[in-house]
Amino acid sequence: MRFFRLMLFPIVALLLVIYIWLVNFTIFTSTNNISSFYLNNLQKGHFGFGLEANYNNQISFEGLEPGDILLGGYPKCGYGRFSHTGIYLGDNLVLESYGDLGITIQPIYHYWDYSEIALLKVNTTKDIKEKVVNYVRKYEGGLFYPVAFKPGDRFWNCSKIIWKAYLKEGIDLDDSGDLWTAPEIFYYSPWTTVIREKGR
Amino acid sequence: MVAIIRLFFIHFSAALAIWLSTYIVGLDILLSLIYILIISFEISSLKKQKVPTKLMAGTLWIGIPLTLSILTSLKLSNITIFILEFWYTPILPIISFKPYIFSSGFPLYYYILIWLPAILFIHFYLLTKKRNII
Repeated sequence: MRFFRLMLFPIVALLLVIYIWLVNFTIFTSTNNISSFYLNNLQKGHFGFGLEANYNNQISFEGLEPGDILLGGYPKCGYGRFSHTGIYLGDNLVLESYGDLGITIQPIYHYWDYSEIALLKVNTTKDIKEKVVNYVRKYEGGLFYPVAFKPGDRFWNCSKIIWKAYLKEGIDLDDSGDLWTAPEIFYYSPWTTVIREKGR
Repeated sequence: MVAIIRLFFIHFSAALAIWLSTYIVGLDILLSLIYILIISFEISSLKKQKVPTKLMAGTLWIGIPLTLSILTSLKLSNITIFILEFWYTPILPIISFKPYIFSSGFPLYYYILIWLPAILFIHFYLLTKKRNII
């Protein structure tokens, strides 16, 4: 019984690693996946959120519609150009997620702090965007977990909630087939167009 | 010493397994419940140990998350909340359910993570005193 208690979770972990690896074989055998991207950034000395500060980018938020996406990032960010994303709700409010606040609604203006900023229009109808906004609002207070896998609706990060809400409406903002999603992916999605950006 | 290593080995391997199990919706909840049972048995087995071993185990078991809780609530760094979440990964599935409740802008799960060392202390104390339920 003592041996069982000690070895149960390592064995389960090993079986899950094998299962996840087999199910995502093509992702793991490619170098074009999020994990490789983060590891490459780490090798360059780019770690976590990067050099956080108030860069006062003063971007104009004009032209954003509820359901559109904001991306923000700092120099030397480990996740690529952008480390954070939020979805515009209207009335200068953004739904986003953080470790301590979970899925939360915040004023839009803190996006002026980022050195890298992009406002993305999602190329779909207002009706779909409204459904997406209603969906994300239902998860306010949901649990933030930095390495939340795509399946499931109890563990979230800033990108997953937006990706999942649009996927529910048949729009896959991340068709990479990866285990998780990231803000940077929305920037290159064929479903989005850059309204305005600053930085690099 | 072996007893303490066992305790933390089970905890960290459970954290890894339960994080991976979130890939299969629902499995994480089952494993989380099994974790609570196994870790309770493991803590309970410490009562056979000498007092210094029990004290050391208790100090580490409660002290590490308590330190993280204090650092997180002081908002000294936004990294500590992530470490706290990773530390508590084995029980996160249980506190991930709706309804989502807020107080002073923070979700209920945040307060649970911050105050969990107090619950861990009671749990540890009840299971390691000479007469207990397990």
